[in-house]
Amino acid sequence: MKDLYPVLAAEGLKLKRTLALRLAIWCPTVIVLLVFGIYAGRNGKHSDADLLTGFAQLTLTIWTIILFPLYAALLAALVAAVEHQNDSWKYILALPVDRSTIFVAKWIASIGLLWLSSLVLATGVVATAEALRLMKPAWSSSHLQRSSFE
Amino acid sequence: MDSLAIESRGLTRTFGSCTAVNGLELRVPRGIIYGFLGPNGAGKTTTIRLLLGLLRPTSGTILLNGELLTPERRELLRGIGALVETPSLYPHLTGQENLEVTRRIRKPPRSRVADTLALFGLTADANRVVRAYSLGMRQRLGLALAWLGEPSLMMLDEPANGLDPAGIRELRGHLQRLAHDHNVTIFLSSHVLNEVEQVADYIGIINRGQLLFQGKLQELQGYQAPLTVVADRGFDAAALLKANGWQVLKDSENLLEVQISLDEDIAAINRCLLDNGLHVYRLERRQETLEDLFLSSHGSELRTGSHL
Repeated sequence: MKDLYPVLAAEGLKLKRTLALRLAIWCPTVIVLLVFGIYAGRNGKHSDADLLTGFAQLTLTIWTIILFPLYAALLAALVAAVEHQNDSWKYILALPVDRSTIFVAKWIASIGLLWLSSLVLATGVVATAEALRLMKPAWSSSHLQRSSFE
Repeated sequence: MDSLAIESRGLTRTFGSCTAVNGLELRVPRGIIYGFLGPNGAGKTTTIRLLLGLLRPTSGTILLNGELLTPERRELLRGIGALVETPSLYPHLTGQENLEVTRRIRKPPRSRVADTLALFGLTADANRVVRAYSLGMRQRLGLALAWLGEPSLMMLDEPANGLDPAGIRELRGHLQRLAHDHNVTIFLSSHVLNEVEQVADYIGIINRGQLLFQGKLQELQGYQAPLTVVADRGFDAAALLKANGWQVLKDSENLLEVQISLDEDIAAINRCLLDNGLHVYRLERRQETLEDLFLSSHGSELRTGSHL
């Protein structure tokens, strides 16, 4: 495992211009924009006080229940495909590095990409929620608080 | 004592009931180009994979630079550069990035990437993605990858595969330069005798998993390819040539095969036929492939004449 850092550095460079990396950014972005579109079209009525919470919940539900399991499998396949496509396993496994190091580096790279997409999703939810708040002043938290006291 | 670059003892590998490599006793001295020849399916790639630790031998041992190769001792591979079949390149990365991936793992100095690109004439294309490279450029980049880790031994599996004659000539130049200027041992496999005999110092010939010949190239060069003659009245021509002391191996209506040893013989045969009023349509010295060499009767002659 002493070679983990250099192997990981190589792994990072290999992801450049790959579908795996693009998906890690685009996939959560598309989900956030989709739910944003749904909510931007709704009319803010008094009874919709929990709309911002609902917005975040719907995004996370679509992401974690429907998309994430598929996406994690797809991403792992895409990370491995970097080697499969050009049959380069035979090359990297002949490098003077333990096989386990190479596999662990691949695993870390996949987990790293999942973290990246989760981060994009979280940032996206917060940013679009702010946008909704500006677009629909009725949904703002002051309104929420007032309505809860009534 | 000067140990061998590669030594294998009783190297055997089976796949199910099929024996791909059988009792191989390779002896590759240092600082030479070793041509590993065999027809397709003879066990060349299996041998290279075994030597690189990509496959485990069923039995037998491998010594690289005098040290035993085991699955735990991957450090031995540090001094080895490899190109197995098609080069393993990442098409979405540039040439320079492809080298950088390997550099990060093998850790030669940073400047080595630029030097290697220059050595293989890829500097101008270093920043193009490999997807846009020609086959010859990919092959050069594959060699560059093998060369990057400052190896003392390079194992190249069919490096000339798919290259045109100009590309093969260029490859030959690169290999000779690496071996002679940089004192690297090069172990290369091929199925074309002609391709190898122009670069290799040593030759090993494998067929059906067994080493048939191993030794200096000169020992193999005693063998001469026959001359194919296409002429009208083939039987007359054959009789004529026999009468003039040539050894006719095959005759038919219009095609003959004549055993010759020197290029001057070709001219002499031509003159002999023309002077006797025969029309010569074609004189051709066939490029002997290993299949011809070993699946024909010449092969058995060679086999009995060889020493292992």
